[in-house]
Amino acid sequence: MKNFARTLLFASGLVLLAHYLPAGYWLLATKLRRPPIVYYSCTEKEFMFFRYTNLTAIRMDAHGKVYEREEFERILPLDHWMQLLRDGKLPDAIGGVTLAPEALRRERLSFRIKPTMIDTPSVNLTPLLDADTGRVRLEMPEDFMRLGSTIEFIHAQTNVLEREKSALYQSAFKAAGFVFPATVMGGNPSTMKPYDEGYFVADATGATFHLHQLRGKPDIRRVSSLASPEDKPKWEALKPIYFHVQEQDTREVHTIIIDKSNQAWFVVGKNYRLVKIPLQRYDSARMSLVVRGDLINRLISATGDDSVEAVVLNRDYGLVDRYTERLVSRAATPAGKLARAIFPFTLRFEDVSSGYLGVFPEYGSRIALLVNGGLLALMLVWLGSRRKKQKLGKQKAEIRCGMLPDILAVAIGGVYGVALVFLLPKAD
Amino acid sequence: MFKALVYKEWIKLRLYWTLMFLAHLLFCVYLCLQLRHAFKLHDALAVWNNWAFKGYLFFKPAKNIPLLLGVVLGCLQFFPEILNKKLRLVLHLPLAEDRAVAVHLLAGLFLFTLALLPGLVLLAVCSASYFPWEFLLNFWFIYLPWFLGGYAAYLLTVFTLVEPTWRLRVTCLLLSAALLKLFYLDSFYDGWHRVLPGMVLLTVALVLLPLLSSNRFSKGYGS
Amino acid sequence: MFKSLLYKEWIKLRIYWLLLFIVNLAFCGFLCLRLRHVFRINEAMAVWSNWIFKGYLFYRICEYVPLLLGVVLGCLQFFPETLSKRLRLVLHLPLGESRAASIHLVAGLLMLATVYLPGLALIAVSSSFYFPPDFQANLLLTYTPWLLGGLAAYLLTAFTVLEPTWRLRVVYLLFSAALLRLFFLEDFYNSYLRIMLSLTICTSLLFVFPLLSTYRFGKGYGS
Repeated sequence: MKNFARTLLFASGLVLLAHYLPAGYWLLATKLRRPPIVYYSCTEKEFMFFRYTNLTAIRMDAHGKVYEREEFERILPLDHWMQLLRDGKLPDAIGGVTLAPEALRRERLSFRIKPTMIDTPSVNLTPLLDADTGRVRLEMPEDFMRLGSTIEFIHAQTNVLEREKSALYQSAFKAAGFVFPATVMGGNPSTMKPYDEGYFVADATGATFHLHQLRGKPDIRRVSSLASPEDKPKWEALKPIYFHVQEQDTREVHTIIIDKSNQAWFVVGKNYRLVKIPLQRYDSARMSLVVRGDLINRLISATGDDSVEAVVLNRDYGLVDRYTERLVSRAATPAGKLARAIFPFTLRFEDVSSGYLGVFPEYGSRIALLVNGGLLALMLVWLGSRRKKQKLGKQKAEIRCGMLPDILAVAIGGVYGVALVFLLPKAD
Repeated sequence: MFKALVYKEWIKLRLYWTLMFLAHLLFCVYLCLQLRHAFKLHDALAVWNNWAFKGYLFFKPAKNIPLLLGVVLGCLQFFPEILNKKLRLVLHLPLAEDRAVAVHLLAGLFLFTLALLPGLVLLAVCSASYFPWEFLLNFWFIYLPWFLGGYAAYLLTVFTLVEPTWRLRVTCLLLSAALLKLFYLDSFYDGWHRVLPGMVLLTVALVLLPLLSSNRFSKGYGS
Repeated sequence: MFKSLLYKEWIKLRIYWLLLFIVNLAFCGFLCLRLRHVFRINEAMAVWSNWIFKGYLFYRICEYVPLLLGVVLGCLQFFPETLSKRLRLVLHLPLGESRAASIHLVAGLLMLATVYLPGLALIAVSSSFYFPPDFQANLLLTYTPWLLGGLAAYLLTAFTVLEPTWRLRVVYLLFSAALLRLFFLEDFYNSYLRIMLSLTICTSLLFVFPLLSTYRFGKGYGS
């Protein structure tokens, strides 16, 4: 029993040190590393950047030329139109498109999708707003919708199931061909928006449906049947894992869909046109997706720890330009390299990829293996010299067995193991 | 006699005091490192704003520590005394009863202050190096109620422990919990500004409660 | 032998158990009253939205209560054993050393479970009046790491208190603090979903550590 307890103590000590020592190291050693903000100039037809270096920010273009603030704003008229308008420097038109202030304000689009939005703890209850009450402002309903293996409505104040409404919606879903249970759902449960887009729901087969509540009645339709003939096969092949719904004044983008193969799509217009966002390196679990749209272009950038990729689409969603850049990831900085050399492995319980806790190991470099080996050799030498001093005889085997946790700890944990050998109780 | 009693308490508690002192100091070092980390990753103005307008205090995790340490010190100092009713020995000394117990209390309060002060000074120095003097003043005004709460916790713990009958101990516990809650009511900073003198007086007055308990103990109630 | 050892622990601890039980139950009852109050002065839609989208949990204040209760019970149960080295008496019983110590631990764990569960049940029942059944699953998933943390705290306190040498006690204190923090990592609900099984296994394995301390005590280290 005592050997088991001691082994367990060493094992848990390793786990704890592998979590806390690197955390402490990074608490001391972290330097600010912000990825650049990517812009696209529609007048110069090239990418511009706002780069952070050591608490200052520099405005540059793709060739490395540095710009002053006014010059930078002049080259990016659609991003800084308010300042240019105030200064009287806003051009009347760009590429044939008239720049009217009202249109400029209306056409601004901004979406941000972070990995934690995709994989986060949630409750299966959400309010289904009535999109057509006849009132100017949207109002919160009095019930919550639960859409899982059935659809149900629960009245919040009384905490009672609304049977009639639930049955009505259940039959509407069945009639639309929805196969329960629902797998993915996305909507915007807020009244602070210009209109209500409703919810996009994927059923058990992965088919996408669009759900509205209109004057209390359900409106659920399979999107592939609403789409145009060219888009229909694309819709049927789509396997969504996340719907991002954010209503805008222009009502142009219904939703942004992320599918199983890390491909992002726009759903645009009355015919639910499915537009592929042509990013090549987007990993929805590790990168954040930012969409900035204006009167002339759509700029979509995917930013991760070690790379930035940006694509520019015109208003018809054709590809205009693309930019990729490798960033220095934290592991590649000098501090990161030192960490990977000292710490044979690191355990984190939180990660950017998810709102859930989990076990996220990271492994050190080959130098760490050498360090481990060196420490193990030192330890064996020390043990051997100690045993020579004590004449043990028959107890040799027992002691060797008792020292096994220590030896293993140093072999696997390197630095952690050495600390544990000194801190924890010795074998008898 | 005074010196001898204080020394006796020191010998009894020195190991625990060292642990408390180190733990508190290390925790304050950790808080300061976290503040340094925050300044490295964020705009300094954002951090100042967060304190001034949102009430994010970098030392807020230290809020309940004086309370905890006060309770722990009170328990560690007086639990052995009451377990074997050893307190009677002290009361038989050629000192007035009240004075003997008061000396014990003073020793405890003194050790408590000594254990917490270095960490506190470290936090203050850290505040002063990253923030302007208004914030430092703010820091002292915020920490003072928590510190007084620690004293109160110590005194009320002794009050509860020394009380001989179980029935009244429960009453003491309830009273202590209710009183201590008063020190930790604020959610934003500076809430206690206007009642601070009153709080100090209250804390000083709390010294009387353990003396009351020890009086009852010596009278022989509940044995 | 098993029954009489359990009974002995019960007699030693029954008053404290009763106090802890009442405190926990009263605290949970207070939270339920506050929940009722919240629903009377706010719209149910707003309260549900705050829970679902912002993670406001009315019982979040209970987060560290199981931990505290576990530490307190561990201290109350094992401090007297170590103070006068009375533990030697238990180890001289005609039971395996481990078995005797295990029975003490089982007694403590049973008492803790009977303190925790009624409070949790009270919260579950009263929330069922105001929230849909989804809330109960949510409550269970969020509360379980805290309960496991409380049980772990008890076992680690026993581990630390029973250890005879001071050097290792300090190491174990750090070890316990480091380990216990892992039970309280997240602010949102359900975050422990994926590692709940590992967490439960970890907590049950902690049972072995106090046995190691008892073994070392029996061998006579540090006396």
